Amino acid sequence: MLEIKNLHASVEGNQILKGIDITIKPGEIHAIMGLNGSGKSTLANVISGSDKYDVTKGEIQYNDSNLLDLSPEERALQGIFMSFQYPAVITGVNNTYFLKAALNAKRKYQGKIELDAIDFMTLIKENLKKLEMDESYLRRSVNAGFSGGEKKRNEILQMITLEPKLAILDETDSGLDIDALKIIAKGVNDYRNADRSFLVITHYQRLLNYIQPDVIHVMIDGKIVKTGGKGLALTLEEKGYRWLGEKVS
Amino acid sequence: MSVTKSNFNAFLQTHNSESETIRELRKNAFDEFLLVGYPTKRNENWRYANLTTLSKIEYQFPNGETSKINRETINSHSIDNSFRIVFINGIFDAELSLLDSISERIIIKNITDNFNDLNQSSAKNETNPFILLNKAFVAGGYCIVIDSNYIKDKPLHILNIISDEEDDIQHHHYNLIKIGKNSQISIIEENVNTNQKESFKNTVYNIQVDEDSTLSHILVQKNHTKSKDINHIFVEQQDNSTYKTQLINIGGELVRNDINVQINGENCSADISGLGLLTGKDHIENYTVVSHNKPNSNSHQLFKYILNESSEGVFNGLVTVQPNAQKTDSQQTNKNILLSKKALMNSNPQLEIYADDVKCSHGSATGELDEDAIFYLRSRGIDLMTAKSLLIEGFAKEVIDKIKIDSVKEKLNIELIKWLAK
Repeated sequence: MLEIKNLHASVEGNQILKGIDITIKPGEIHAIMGLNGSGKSTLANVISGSDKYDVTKGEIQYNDSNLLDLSPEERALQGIFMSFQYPAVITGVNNTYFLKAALNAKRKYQGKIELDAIDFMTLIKENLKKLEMDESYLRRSVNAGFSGGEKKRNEILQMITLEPKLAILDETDSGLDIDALKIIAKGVNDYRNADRSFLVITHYQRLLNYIQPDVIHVMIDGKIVKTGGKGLALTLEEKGYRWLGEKVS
Repeated sequence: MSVTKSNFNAFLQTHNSESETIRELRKNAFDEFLLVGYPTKRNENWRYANLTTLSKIEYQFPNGETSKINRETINSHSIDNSFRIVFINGIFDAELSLLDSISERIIIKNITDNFNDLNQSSAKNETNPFILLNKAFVAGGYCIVIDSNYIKDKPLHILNIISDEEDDIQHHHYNLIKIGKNSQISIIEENVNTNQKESFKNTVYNIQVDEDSTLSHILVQKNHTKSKDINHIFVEQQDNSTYKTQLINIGGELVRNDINVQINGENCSADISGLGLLTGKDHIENYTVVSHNKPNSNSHQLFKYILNESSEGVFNGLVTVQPNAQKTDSQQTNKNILLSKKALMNSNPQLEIYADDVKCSHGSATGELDEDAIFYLRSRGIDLMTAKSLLIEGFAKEVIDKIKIDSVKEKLNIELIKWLAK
């Protein structure tokens, strides 16, 4: 599904990613762990198509597409979704309106009939319930005045509504209390299937108690220094990152 | 000089039925205008406006024969559940208006039939050239008087249509709105310029809101690339009165609104907001003066501009709090979005406070569309153009949402989307 080869990326001339290789197969959950500043979020943003980063070397193959040739909206329409670490606040743009526009853009792309207001409301109310979100959400502006937890729930709401093929969760757990974390994890787990893949970025092992990954990568200074099974998370929890850091240096 | 002595004499000839007093007032005003002349960029209050064309063209007066406006044009502007009052080139058109079952306590007249109500003060001490020109040449406009204890049933929808058959026509209108004690009314006024002719419109508004009254005045001004539209809006508020206005300006070669609100009563509220949509070489200026002359009142100002291509906007806002106007609560905000590197915004919010127990704030921000927000929307599959439109609509919403009449709000949203699609 996704094949990242020797990816190098920089921001304002600073090299952040220094040769990343990751292959994600359909249905797999991959986790990337690492300390702040190791380049995890950069990787997520490069996959999503943010133009703040320059890809200086390497490639990303996504199904049949050369991902780096696609605009952010084309990537989204082809099934890529990122749950933002810091979701944008968009005052004056109503959540319902925004989500309906996004969903219908996708349906149109897929050659499906666009949903009318009534069908859309039925769908969105179901999804709100799954995430234990209040319906007043629908009348508010996108992320305006939202608490940290509300913003993260909103990301997951968008994810389950837009039904991506590859969902990247960028630090979705940070700033969440344990109850919110469980709800979000449930949203993700209910949503797993054989065709849908996840890339979960976190620097705590905690989230991985609830969302069990197939593969864990450890990123340090723009490189994957170790790849392993779920046991790796526990080792990291116990020993920290230093033993790996020492190993690389 | 665009207006000459012979020009003025010809005007007097065509208005020879007027009383000697009125003629005298006109003459005085014109003489004063000749002394003052058009403002130049050296004048601090006119430093951004380009008045070259305006002062060079020898503008003529509408010949009285208004061109036929068909019913479809009017209907395209209709607002459900409102009284419609149509003025063509400043003259009331009963046929196109819809005033069935309107209360007898609302008086609607041509200002020209009613020069006494005009309360035309002498031109003495007046130095503003546009007001002087208006005093000299006023030949159209409305007079709306609302009796006391009148509670609105339907809003008044005023359609001011300028329809010039030829280039270089000038229109000087005077509009009077007088709200009696303990009354409430909503007025939606639309100024439309139907023909794309070189034109100059110069309007003075005299708005009086008496004790315990509420006036909501929505003013929508649509202009084209050759129209110059100058407005002076004078508002006077008495005790416990509320004045709400939204000025929506769409385009115009030169649009200038001077809004002067005198809060002469206690416990008053003034809510003044504006939205400017500019593209091409549009130039729109809003100069506001809000003067708190009595204690315990509040005023809120919010002006937003969206500027594309080589357009230029000006916001100059002054709030003054007089020494006895304690407990004044005043806010003034100007926010602008530049959609092009060539667009320019001049923002100058000012406060003059002579009282010590007041709450006053002002702020101004001009920037481009938020890149992070654009990326966020695109990452959800929304294309770049739509993402930008969504953000612009969201930006404008704060002003449009102040309008409480849904059909008007809807119409303005459509205008905005049409403007964005241009």
